[in-house]
Amino acid sequence: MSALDSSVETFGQRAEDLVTVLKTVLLGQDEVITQSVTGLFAGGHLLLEGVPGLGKTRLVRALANALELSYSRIQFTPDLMPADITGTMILREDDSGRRVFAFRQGPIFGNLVLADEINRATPKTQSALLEAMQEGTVTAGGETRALPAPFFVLATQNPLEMEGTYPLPEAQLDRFLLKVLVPYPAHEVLRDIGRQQGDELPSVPLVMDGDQIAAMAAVAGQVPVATPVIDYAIALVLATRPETTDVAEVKRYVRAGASPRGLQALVGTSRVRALLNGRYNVSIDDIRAMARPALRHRLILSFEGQSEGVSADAVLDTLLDAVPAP
Amino acid sequence: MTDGFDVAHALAPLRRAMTVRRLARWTVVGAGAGALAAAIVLAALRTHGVTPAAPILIFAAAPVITAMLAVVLRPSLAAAARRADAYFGLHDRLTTALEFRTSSEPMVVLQRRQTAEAIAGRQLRSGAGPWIVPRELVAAILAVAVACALFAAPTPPTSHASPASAAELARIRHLASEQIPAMTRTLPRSNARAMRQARHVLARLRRQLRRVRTKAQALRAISLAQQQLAQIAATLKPVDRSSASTLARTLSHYIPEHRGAANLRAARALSTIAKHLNRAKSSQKARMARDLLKAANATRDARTRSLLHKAASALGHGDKQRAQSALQKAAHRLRSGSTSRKARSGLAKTQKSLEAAKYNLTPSRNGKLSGASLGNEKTKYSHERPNSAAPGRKSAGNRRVISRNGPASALNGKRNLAESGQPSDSGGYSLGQQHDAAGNGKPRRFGVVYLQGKLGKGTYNVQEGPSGQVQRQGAARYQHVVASYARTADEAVSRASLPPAIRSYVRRYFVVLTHP
Repeated sequence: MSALDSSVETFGQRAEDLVTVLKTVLLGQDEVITQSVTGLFAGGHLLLEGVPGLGKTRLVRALANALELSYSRIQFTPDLMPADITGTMILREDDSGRRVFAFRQGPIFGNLVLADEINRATPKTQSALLEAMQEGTVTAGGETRALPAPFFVLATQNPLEMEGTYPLPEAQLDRFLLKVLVPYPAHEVLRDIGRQQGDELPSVPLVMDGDQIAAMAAVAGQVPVATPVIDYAIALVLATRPETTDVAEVKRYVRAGASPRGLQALVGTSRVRALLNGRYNVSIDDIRAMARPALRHRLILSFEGQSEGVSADAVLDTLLDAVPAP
Repeated sequence: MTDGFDVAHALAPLRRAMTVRRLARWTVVGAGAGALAAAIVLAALRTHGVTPAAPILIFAAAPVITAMLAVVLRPSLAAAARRADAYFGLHDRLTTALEFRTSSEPMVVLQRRQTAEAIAGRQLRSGAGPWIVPRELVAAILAVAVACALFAAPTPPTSHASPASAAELARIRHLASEQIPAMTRTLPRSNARAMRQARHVLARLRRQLRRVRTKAQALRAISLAQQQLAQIAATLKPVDRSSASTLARTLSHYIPEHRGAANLRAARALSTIAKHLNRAKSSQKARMARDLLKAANATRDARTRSLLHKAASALGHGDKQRAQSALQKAAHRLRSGSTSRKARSGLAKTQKSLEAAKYNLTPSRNGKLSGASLGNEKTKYSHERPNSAAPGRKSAGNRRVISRNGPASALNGKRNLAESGQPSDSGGYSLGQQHDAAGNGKPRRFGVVYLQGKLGKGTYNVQEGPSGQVQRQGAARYQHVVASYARTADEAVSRASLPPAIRSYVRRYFVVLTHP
């Protein structure tokens, strides 16, 4: 058995273990858990959107506990400053008693960063995350510092409360690999939740560490993608753009479509999904399954779309029906 | 194939099966499409009363073509892989394995191994799809049935012509089997190209006459052949004798002897000039150019004049080759003058024979084929003595009425027939009717329509008025008048720069007038 054989085998086992652990913490949100794990193994940042009380923060905390990663939480508020996130230079005395400026790391210096209610911070503060999310570095005091690897930002936002919120700019949204919608749990799930005692996070076993996550991401990157499959992904991405699409709904309701980064996200997460399903190649089904979480936050709706209450998911559903599979 | 699994080899049976199915399916579709196209063509052509071979050819060729296309455009291995993936739910494993079959990347090797496991024990060829789609098969069968029905159904007679009687058919078949071959044999051997075209026209006419079922169709086919022969004749324009004589006179100092036909002498003179051009000095060339210009201006033949002008101009510019070429052409034209005249004469004879054949197919007054020549028809009609005038005319007492249909009624024969309630058996162009002498109400038919005109050399009618005076009235046969108009129109449209569609429209108009 080659090294890759064992890596692939352990990939499936560990992923399954992680999903099982998370399912014990967050009941009835299997799809959310799967998509979150997929995004994690694809090496991207996640944006979780859902009304309060659905367990978004609980999921992120459980994930941090299961992965043996340094975890930090930033509660975004309107008065939060960029330095509160990235860190700042402070004056302090060294061993010889001289006063020197030293950099004090902000909460972003962690492996797993929970940006809770990210849309409550001002755009200035939100943009403090841009460099960190894209480059994995922070520049402060004229010096660029690398963030610890792996580095994941898991942000949450509330779609209902619009008062005192600042919608994320498009550039910021594009940095998130996936946008996962957290739905209300079903009736049977609510029954199980109601029977649970208290709100404490149960103890979560350690499933893997940061190095193993990086190794799994490297394995996922080797999954081959056939030309017809990647062509289908490209067709989907092109169909999200009003200027290149034939879909009437897109022309009418979408102002700007997905970028090449969206295509990378779509194919990358499809690779992970294929491995999670025990396959060593990406299929059309993987692309179709990952199209919504990978592209929904990359569609910028037009004024007409917003005024008519059209969701990006509705447009994507139309797209998936309209673009023929090879 | 680093791991012993050859995906292309595994897909080969499926590809073959897909090719065979495509062949079957496309052949059926081709047969249906061919049948449909043949039916449409057949239906369109049957309105003209002709049963051509084109629909049969379309019907036979379409499935062959589609079958060949199916083989040429056979499914690729990638298409086979995609079909197998879709049919067996393999999640694009075969497609990926095929594309990366030469790669030895560890993950690709794993993928290939997994693909081999996934298809182990499966008969990939079972995913080749249906042999024939029932909807397409039903459509093809329906199209073939329609086409066969149209093929099998007898050619309907045109609305204005009844089927030919046995005697008429015998006459038409005799024309096809005896007279037209005789006409073909009498065509001159000269001017091979034009005569080859003429023979081709006659051969086609012969084939058409073998198939026709009504007299109108036969007459129409003959008229069309006449038109084509006229077009062929129009291409033969020999230099007339006077032009040739003028040319020979003008260029006489280039010809040593003055015997023989003028056109041959002129041709010899031009050849001599062409031959001596290479050795001629400048002054000689200038003289030759002047002589050629004089000759060009002297001749009335436009084509020869143009060629001589061109030769003179080329000489003026020192272009010997162009001058020689023009001179040779002009000489050739002069030499071939006699052969063209013979060819035109031969074609004219054929035209006359065809014209006579047409008249032989027209009915006599008792409804039988007369076979009468043009000359004796007047005599026959001049002695009729009907008791009453034709419908639509005033009673003439004891007046002898020979020519009863005026020009309008002749030109509108169909309308008159409809009014008189009499069917036509003559191709519809000549019938009036008259009650017989016994007054028993039986209509008597007249075969020839005369048009009133001025007295001249042609046929005339004699009428005897109530007081016994004899009135002579100029008359010309409808056929002659319309044929003359048709010839004039044909020549006019041949000369004019008209689109072919308009040209054929005018010709069709006169064909209909001739055989309404």
